[in-house]
Amino acid sequence: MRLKELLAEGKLRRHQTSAKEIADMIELVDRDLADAAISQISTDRRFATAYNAALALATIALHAAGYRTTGSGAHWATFQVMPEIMHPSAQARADYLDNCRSKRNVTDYDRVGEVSETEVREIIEEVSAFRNDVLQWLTANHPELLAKDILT
Amino acid sequence: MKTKSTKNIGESTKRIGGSAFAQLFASEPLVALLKQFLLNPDQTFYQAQLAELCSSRLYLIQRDLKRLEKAGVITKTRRGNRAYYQANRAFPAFEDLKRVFLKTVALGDALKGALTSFAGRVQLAFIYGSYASGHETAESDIDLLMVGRLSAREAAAVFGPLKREIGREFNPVIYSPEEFRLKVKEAHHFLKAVLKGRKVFLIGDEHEIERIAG
Repeated sequence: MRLKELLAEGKLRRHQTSAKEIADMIELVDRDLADAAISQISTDRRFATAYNAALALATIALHAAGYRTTGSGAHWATFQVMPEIMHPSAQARADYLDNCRSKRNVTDYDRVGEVSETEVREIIEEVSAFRNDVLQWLTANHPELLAKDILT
Repeated sequence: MKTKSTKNIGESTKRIGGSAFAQLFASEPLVALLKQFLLNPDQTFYQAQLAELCSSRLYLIQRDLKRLEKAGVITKTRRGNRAYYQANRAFPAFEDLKRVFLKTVALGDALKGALTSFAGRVQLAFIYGSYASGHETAESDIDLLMVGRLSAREAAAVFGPLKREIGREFNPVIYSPEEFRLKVKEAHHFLKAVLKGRKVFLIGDEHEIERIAG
């Protein structure tokens, strides 16, 4: 339902993805998760990096389902349609990640030092679990996008 | 302690959006009544009860109940010799009106309601930033700081539906009591600024901040 609305509003468009594109994004996720674990940098930056990995994971699902975002509110739209694309049970995670989006906006543009240690630990754990779920979901629903020989 | 925080909730709720938005209405009890009905649409109320809930005089309540009934926002039914009032969900703009109230005068109450799911686990919760200082715009986030034992994921599960309903960005910051204490002690820049700024308390009060920061 949300998907249809956002398509009609022009926030989403049809998109043809490839195993190469998905592989690149998974690589990006792994880089960001590794960087977010570096305890010497600020909690703000670690949080934003883990969030970036989460966005990439949600985008992988969006692309695999045949869509991409356009225009403003791209992050928001990506999380909005996540439960519809993956599974209704993903709603709680989508709500959580959407809150992380608000927080990342604040730490990137407005205020310094808002992210607590507790929050960084939580987002890294959440995103690691999300990574496993996305890979499982791809294996079950779009195995053709996981072709290993396309990896360069 | 308990009475103190309850009192604070009342004061602060009044302050959120109350100042500017509530003045669009003919009277204060009218705003209080609308809030009562719109936030509890499945409940029926009688006059004396509403006077108590809205801390207003009975004759003012009676006058404004008549207004609301005439406008179609509420319905009146008689049982025995008592009249009962309830929100009228069939009112064409019911959901819109509710949303308007949730975004303005009733925001504090709505948040407080959501926070009851964490009863006993959140020691301190307050709104800070533009909402608290009354400088919010239509695009302002609602900045909420909480101290307690809960995860951001749990908070999102509770605030997610509310966020979708009011259509506002929501920005909860969560500290464990230990991290809060440590950061206050270190005079952490963000926390220092927040604690100095205006706050709208939903759980706890200034004394509770001092107590946790110890």
